Amino acid sequence: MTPTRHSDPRIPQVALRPPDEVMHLDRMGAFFPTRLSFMRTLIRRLADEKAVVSRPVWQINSDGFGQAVYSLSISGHIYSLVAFSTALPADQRTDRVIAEAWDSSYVLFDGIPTDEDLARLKENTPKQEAGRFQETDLILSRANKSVRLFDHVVECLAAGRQPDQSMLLSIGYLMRTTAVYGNGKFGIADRSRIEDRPGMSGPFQAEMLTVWLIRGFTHDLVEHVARSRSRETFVALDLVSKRYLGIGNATGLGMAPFLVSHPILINNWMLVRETALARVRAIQAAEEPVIQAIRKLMERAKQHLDQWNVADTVQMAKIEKLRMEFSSVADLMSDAWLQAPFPWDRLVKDVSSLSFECQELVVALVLEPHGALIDGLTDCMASDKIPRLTPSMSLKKLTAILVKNYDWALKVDLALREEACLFWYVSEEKLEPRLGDRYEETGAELEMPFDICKQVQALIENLETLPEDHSVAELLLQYPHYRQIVRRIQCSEQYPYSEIQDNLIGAKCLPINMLRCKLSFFGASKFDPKSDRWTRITLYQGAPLFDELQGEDADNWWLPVFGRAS
Amino acid sequence: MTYSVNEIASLFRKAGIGAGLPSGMAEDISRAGLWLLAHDLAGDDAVLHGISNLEPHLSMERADSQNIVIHRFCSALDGLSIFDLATASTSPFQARLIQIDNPMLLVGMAGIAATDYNLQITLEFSDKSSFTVEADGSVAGDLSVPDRDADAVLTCQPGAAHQEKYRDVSSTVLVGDDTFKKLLILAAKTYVPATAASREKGAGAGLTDND
Repeated sequence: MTPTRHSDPRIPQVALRPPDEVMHLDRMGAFFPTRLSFMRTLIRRLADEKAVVSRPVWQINSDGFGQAVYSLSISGHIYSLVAFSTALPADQRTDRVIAEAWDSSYVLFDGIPTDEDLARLKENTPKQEAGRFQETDLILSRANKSVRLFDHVVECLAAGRQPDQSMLLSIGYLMRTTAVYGNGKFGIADRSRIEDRPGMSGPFQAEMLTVWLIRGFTHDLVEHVARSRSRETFVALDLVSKRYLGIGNATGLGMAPFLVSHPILINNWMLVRETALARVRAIQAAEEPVIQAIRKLMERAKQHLDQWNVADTVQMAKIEKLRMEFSSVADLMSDAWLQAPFPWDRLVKDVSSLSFECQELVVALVLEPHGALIDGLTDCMASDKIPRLTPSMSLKKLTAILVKNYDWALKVDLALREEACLFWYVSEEKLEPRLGDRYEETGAELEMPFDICKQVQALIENLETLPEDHSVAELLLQYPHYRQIVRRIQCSEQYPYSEIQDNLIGAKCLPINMLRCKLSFFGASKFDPKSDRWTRITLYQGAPLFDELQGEDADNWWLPVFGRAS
Repeated sequence: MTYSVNEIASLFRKAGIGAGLPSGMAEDISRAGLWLLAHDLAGDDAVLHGISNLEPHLSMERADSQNIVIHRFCSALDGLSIFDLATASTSPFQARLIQIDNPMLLVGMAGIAATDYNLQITLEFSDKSSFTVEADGSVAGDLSVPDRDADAVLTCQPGAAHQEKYRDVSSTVLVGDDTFKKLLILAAKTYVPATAASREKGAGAGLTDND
């Protein structure tokens, strides 16, 4: 069994990359999915348990509208995806959170839904935020078609031919989700209902399960519509195409605040990732099967990069640079080079002068063939803890922690207009988190407390005027508005990767980097930024299909490549 | 109506901020309200009334760091600090709280302080009701909490070591419809009105979605 503790004396590891190296947005915004990503963890669990997906309900008409239910058992608990597909006029199809109707809507149900449950869900699920849910409903989601690809695939399959490969490659999904809600939203179950269950205890496992089941539903739906159109000439999607079709997603600022408001969770994600890397770097000699695996993975990564093309000029320039750099990495790794001591540590060090994209791709690469050494660490990624204040801490100690862990925040010159121009807020429009310019837009007085640098600098000014033997309790009696920042600072002592070490209200802050960081932990790939505030991605491209969990390649789908047989 | 715990936690926190509390205090007051609801006490009303009245205390007398008297005690503004001071105290702590505006909210704060900091906290009210929250979160005594303007003596000492923490197993909470609406109104004060400019920068903006 793989030891699961961050610091296990039985497992050699080099020093972790320190927070001041890792916790910067330009690096976090270059992360790639790894085998520790939540989608991978879920599929490994399903494969280990030989989970079987059944489809007890399929009431879909020839146009593809109706309802379906998919069920599977994980460690003795049955979960069901309840799917509704509805006609949607083109003028109502929008990926924005402000939408009010969708092509399809979903609930992950705890158990097997009765007819009464289905009737209730049919009434509420298509309404999404305007519906009302109950504690048997674990996750709420919706998805819109890629009309272009969905219609094309229907047309082709109905005519007895496979869809155009270039379209599959450039789009990569039949539907894209525009929200996946969990943890109590709109009356659905709190995470506490499932957090102790095997298979659901890791971060976002119920959400990841929902999306994987939605992906399977989109495959079934497109084939059903095509078959209904022409039963005589219909052909099924070939496996290579089907496996490549994942689920798209449009992700905006709504995801960014999570990284700031869940410091312990972010610490755990980062700490596991860094610990895994530190373990791999401590491997003295690479075994031949691992070397062969790495060579195959590098080839796959190259193909993936070749197939990753986006319209965004900034990201495309990064991808082109990455292609060149990654080729040079491949050239470096001769047999002799790999057989010398500590190859993975040397590799990480040797690429440290290259772009963050290349550095982080190499990190994901070297983790991939070392599942036996690192997979158990994923048990340490969840947390139900919230930061707690330590009122008895002396102000001397608080100051020392602040100076040690927040020196980056003290260095920001907030007198400069560009260092304080942004403000994060919640819009009254469907409560969407947004980012404004405080010098040009109204609402800055309602900003969310993401001005960490400003709070830290104000706090230290007050700390300098108070006796250092006073306690935090005395400080907060006098200055109660520091309660949150003091808690964050205290938290950073035990959770060193809990804070993004950049000024989140400065003009240079790019939220897209926060999004990519979080999405990489989900396991997303093919990041396709549409601005510095939102991105499209794909999930589960290349992942096993419902009936492929038993195969030997069920965990071999890092970085999707079109045309890969398995 | 029944809500998920997380829904109400979020509503309490936002309502607190909307009422004018700093976010760190609003977070803890939200936890206090949930603690009350989990113990079948009116945490929703306690939070609503607590954050609706943010009048600073009249005076504070401190003989030393372990003995404090506060006149016209504002639970939302003073309550968290009282338990902070109790936690930081190196010897048994006592406070006299005069004319408490919201005794119920204070009880909720005692609940989270006792479990967070392994304390035994006793509140003896002027109407003779009293109860003790143990470090494991269990409550002993008369749970009929007095109305506003009661006085209380709060005492605090270290709780028994290695106690199994009380775990709230309730998965939903009941909140009165009228209270819920009033909390929503306060929470809405934290939202910024939408503008065309802000809309143009959100996820999904700038593309046809029929592609």
